[in-house]
Amino acid sequence: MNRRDFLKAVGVVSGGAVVAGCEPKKGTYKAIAPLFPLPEGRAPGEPYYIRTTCTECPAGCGVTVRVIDGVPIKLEGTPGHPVNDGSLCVRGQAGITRLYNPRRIQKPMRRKGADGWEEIEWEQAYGDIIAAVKRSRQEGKKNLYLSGRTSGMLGRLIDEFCQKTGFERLPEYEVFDYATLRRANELVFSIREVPSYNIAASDFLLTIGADVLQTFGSPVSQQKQIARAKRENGLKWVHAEPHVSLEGLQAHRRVALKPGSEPHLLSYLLAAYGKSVPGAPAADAPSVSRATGVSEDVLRDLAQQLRAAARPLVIAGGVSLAGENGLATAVLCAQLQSAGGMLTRLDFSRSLEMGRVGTLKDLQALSERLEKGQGGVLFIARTDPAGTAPEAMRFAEKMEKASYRVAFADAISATTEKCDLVLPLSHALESAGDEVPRKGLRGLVQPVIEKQLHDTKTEGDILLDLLDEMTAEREFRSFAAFLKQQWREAYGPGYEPQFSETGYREASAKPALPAARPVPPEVLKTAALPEGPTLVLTPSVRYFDGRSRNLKLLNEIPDPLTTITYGEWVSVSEEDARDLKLRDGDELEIAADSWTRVLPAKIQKHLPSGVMMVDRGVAGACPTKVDPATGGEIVWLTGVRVRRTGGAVKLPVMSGSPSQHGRGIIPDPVHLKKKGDGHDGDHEKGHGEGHHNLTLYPEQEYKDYRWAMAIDLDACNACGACVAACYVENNIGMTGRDQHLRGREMSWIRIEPFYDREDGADFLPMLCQQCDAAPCEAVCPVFATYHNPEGLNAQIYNRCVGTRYCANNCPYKVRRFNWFDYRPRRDPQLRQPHGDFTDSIEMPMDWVSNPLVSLRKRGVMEKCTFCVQRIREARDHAKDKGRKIEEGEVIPACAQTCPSEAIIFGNSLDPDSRVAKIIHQGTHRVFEELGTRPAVHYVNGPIPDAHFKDSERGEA
Amino acid sequence: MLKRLGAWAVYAYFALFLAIIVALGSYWNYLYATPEQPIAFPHKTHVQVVNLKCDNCHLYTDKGRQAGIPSVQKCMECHQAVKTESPEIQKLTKYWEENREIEWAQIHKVPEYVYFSHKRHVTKGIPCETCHGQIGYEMVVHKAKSLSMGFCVTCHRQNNAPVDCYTCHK
Amino acid sequence: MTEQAIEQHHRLERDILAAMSRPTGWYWVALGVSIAAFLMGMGLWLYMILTGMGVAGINNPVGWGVFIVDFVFWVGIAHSGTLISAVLFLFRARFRSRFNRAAEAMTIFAVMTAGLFPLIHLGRVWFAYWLFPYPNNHLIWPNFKSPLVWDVFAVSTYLTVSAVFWYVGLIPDLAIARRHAKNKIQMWAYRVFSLGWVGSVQQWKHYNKLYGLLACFATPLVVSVHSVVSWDFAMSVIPGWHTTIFAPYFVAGAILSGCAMVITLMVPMRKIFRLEEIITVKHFEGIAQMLLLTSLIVTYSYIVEYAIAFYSGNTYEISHFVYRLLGAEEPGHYRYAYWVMVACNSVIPLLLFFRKVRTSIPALFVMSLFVNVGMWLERFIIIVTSLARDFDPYAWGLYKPSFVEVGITIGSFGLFFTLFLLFCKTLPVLAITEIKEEYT
Repeated sequence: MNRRDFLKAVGVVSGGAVVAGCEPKKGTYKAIAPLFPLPEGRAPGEPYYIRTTCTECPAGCGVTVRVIDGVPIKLEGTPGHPVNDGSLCVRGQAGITRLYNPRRIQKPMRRKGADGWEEIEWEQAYGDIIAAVKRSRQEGKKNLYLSGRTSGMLGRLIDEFCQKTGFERLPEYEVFDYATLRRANELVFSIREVPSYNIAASDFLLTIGADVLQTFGSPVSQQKQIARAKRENGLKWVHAEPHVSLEGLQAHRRVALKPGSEPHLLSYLLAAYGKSVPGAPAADAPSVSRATGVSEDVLRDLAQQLRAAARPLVIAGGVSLAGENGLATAVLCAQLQSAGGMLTRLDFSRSLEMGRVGTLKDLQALSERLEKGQGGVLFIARTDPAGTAPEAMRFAEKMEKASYRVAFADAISATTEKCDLVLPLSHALESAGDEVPRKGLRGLVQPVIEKQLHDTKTEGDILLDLLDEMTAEREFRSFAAFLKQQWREAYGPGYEPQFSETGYREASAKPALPAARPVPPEVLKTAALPEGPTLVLTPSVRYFDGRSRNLKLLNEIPDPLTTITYGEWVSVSEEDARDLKLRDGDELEIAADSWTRVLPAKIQKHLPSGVMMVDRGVAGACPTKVDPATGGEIVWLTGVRVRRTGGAVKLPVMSGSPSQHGRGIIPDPVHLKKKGDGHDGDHEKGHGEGHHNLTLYPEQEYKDYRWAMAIDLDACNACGACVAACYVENNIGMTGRDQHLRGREMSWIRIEPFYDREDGADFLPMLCQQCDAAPCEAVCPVFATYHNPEGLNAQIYNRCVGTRYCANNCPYKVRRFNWFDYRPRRDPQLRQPHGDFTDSIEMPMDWVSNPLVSLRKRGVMEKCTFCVQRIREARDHAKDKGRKIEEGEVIPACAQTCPSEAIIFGNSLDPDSRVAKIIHQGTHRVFEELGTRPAVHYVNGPIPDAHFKDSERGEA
Repeated sequence: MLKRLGAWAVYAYFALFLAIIVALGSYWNYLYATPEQPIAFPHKTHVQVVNLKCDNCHLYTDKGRQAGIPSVQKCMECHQAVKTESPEIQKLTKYWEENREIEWAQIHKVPEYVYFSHKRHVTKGIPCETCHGQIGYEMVVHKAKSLSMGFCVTCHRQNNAPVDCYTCHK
Repeated sequence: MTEQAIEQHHRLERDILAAMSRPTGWYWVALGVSIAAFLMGMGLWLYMILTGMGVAGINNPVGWGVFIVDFVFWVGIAHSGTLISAVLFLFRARFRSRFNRAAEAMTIFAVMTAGLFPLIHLGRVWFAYWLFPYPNNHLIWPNFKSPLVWDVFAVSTYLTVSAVFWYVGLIPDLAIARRHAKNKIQMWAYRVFSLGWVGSVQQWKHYNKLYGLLACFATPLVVSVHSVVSWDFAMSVIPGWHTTIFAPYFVAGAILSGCAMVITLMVPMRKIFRLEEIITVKHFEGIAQMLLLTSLIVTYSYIVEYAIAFYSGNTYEISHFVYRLLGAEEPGHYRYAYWVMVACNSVIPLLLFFRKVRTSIPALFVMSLFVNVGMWLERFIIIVTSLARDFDPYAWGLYKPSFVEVGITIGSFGLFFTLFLLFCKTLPVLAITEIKEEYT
């Protein structure tokens, strides 16, 4: 073989080597030709928006659903909505995952054997019910209809159903029933309601135990009001509490009380107004100080501030009203409200719509009747008494005494476990309805998803069907038809366009000033809490009353105080931990009379010694008591026995350290002042040339845009809404408990708590800082991450080879690596209706994926992109109009949903943009001394022209 | 001896490579074989004979990211009457009567991680042929252009269109 | 040349080539074990490729773990080879001739092993070729700013050069081996690879020129390669990585570990192949002195690291180095690793000041093992603890190697020893011609 042959051969070979190409076979993808063209103004793959109302909690926020090709992909607050004006809370953002929740019941289920279920058809289900009703009629038993809080027209239908079929409609059961507060208002103002509090109008807010940021009243609205009042009225917020809560740590000042000593504080404050209430505890400083454990100076200071304030407001609620002295507290608070001239800020004309929500007394009565065997067919709709009612009531056992039990539910719960028949309910995004969050405001609920996911029905339709079957009369084709008719009656013809356009309808109500009247002194009787360890159930920002526990997304997001994600725990004070020699994760056995529970401990700073906290959402049925005076729940379990089991579990705690070790991550006033004095030109532009920023590298140069963000730490309440929004918007994988224990959470934005202050803590939202001189960019060997012409640290997922150098080199540790395939994928194995969360994403969770953001594969790095898909979308609109992107057109998911408008995003090259103004004011940037030049600026409020409406995008 | 041995080795080496090439070639043909379409739709007839414009049927070329596959109803608007005797049209009517959607095999496809907007390109006046080739003259659609990254970037560079990765990568 | 000189030459050849005689059972056992270990490692790698990096222990914030530790460790081992052969050749260090062949072999095998790890630790190894600059239809080049790209070039260059250097050195010995070949295949192979060496004056002239040139060419690489590797860390901003002394510090460390590995390999080899009177204690003493010297340099760097950290007044640096030394109250921190490392690399080698220790083969052998462990730990500490505690306290986290990482590490040793064992039986383990020169 000679040289020529050789060369020839080589030629052929290299030719062949080039051929190697690999992509899926041509035509394997299908392009579906729809039967009918899309309605006018819609294009395939282009998002459109539908108004509806959030049903995650009674607050009833307005929701604008982003829909693509008939599939809802994201919930956003409706701009201008009277309740939430564009924002949603963490639960609201996660609401969409309830629609796709794998734990949803997908077909009517009939009990089969001891604990087995069989899926049946609706007709069979109806048949069973009718048969059961007949039987119970013969037995002369009463058929009962128990439901959770019901508002809007559904209530009317239930009434109609009950009186036509001889069911008895029971008072509704709701865990947060405000029984005590309502009773107090009845006593004082003779209105048995919870007013909506006009915080926005006040300049001094004293909250006593009321978790105004989490579950109390209308959290999103209250957060918004607090933030705006801070900006406009310079609101000062003091939170007095017997435990430690998000509110306490977020308020300007936290006053720690002895549990049950609220009445003393209140009567002291009343005395400050020169008012003494007969029967109220002594109001002299020393005894109050002794009772509350608050120093006299603090008391005096507090009273003085309250008096000095022009438009003060006091709100008592939450755990403070759920104790032995709850009623006294509530009543005295009401008295104080009237004495302090705060009644104008108590709007009873807009008070919460409690429908027919009863109290635990009513549930007690029911369980006694069931005990006596009087219960025939028992309908239980949208509520879980067996799982949440006081454990002493033994409701689960008692309801089994009813002859036939039917549950209307969307997922398995303790209650459904005790039922003979479970009727699956459609999700709000699949059903028509309405929701009345407060008097005079009706929110529209309309079907959004094109075709239902499962074989489910709305409660209304089920009732209509049953009526049809039982009374053989059918007035309405469907519940939707019923609603239309009702609405027409209510608002007259032609209501529809506005209703579906805005998604709500508000009747103008004239606030009537309530008049306070003296109360019988005996209601003010207070008893000191017995000594010894006390366990308190705290309302849960993530799980509300436990109803959201089965949403994986909410388990994925850390609890704001402890940064625990999955699982249960009991928070223990530092002192107690020292006494019991506890480390995080050591198991504690907590026993109250017959009830015992083993929970891992988590040490919680600022928690008064002797008090332990369990998150309401994970507590389940506890030996809580019923307040005889009000029928409210007493969540303070006194005299519990606590001992270490010796066992320990690993808690998925996301925070690596509770302290910032003096690293100036949280801006302190001094720090800000130093930066503010304009000595370094840092703040003239978005990126600095401060003396400490000398560099050999060329400055970044930007033509039209430099995207930047400012975060107001004073406004930020660490509620976690931004985190949830980010997960849903960006298809972020949910990795599950096991991965979290290995430190492999995927959140692009996180909220870091630092317990360095004596009286509280600081919270800082941390996301990719989009540095000008980004350490991550230089080290990527393949340009998967690079600096884009608009200042973003772009991350091109499909270019990434996964060296992880960028993540190592990121001082903020905001880059996330796909250790496994976290992409939403179908996996029938994982479709058990309940049980622990598995590590891979379960069908049909794969529907919650934003087609404008690519799904990251295994082995690639991912990170916050400032929602580049939204920037791209805005640019697309702008180009159509032939102009540049304007202020407010691009709003990242986190900023969009933030209830306190703490996140401001914009183009820092545009001098008129809010972000540019803020930067000009002087801001704090984390680890600025490293010369990374972040584009995320932190300020401690207040922010100029804070009021800005959402862009057209919302109304599109 | 060395000579012979060495020669054998060399020949074996190249024989192996030739084998690989043949294998790749057949794989290649398999990969790029024009797939079977549910209905043999001739673009040529519609464009050349009937003189339809692209956006007569692909309604969204200038409205959104996707050009849009015409709905079955759209086809039936004409084919209720036209050429009803042809077996292919009968297939179509069958779909229509059974309310079934047609699943066309997609020929022109960019990967999942790529953002491509027909609107942006069409409104800039870029002819369909640039990416779809002489589709109007084809009886059977086939992929005329590679639609690879190089293909896009070259064109973007020539027309001073943005070449920032984020323009196309989402 | 005198009678007994020639006689001696023949004895030399016989003794050295005796090593290449038919292997004993133990050899097969050793080889079997090594190969098994190697295959297990590859199996685990395959498992990891199929399931995802998650099966390793790495996490946020510790994105690099045992894989990169192994990479640096093996590159380090690779060092002494070139040092002993090239540098000492230029310095005409006598004891060199006893070690250079094995050391160079060790170098090449170590680089090959090391080269695997950057691939193993890639999230998407099937795209590894993107790190090479080649014309592609994405119209993108690799990012030449990135130290990882420098690595690609540094390591590949090092492999090529040391391979060539080794082979050139082998040629005359191959010729001798050809003379002693036992069967046809050996005969053929040695003939092919000795490139028709006959030992003519002409050939020797060219040979010496080439060898000298290659030595000069290889010498800077000794410094460059590990400097580049050290820049993987020094170029970053992470406290504990971002420091100026890394290049010399790493080179010294590399030579230390290299010498240790040479001892670890040569002591048993000398025993098994009965090369006692060729490789004498005197020669080992030479290596031992180098070990001591580099150990002192490394110790010095340890001290300087702290000096820099504290002198800088940089909060992050200071708190990080305090953490390295003392760890934190919760369990599972790395302070013990640090103490063991100091013991192995700084304290124990001090014994070499005593001639008794220097000249006792068993002592040297044991010590070399300690140093090997110590040097592995050094890399572990630099890489893992630095990542475990960097700037943002919220993001702090710990790392524990998983069975996959351990298994693949064992596998890498398997590969290394497999290659070395094959080398022992196929090629002259000592540079015969050079040793001959000494006897004349």
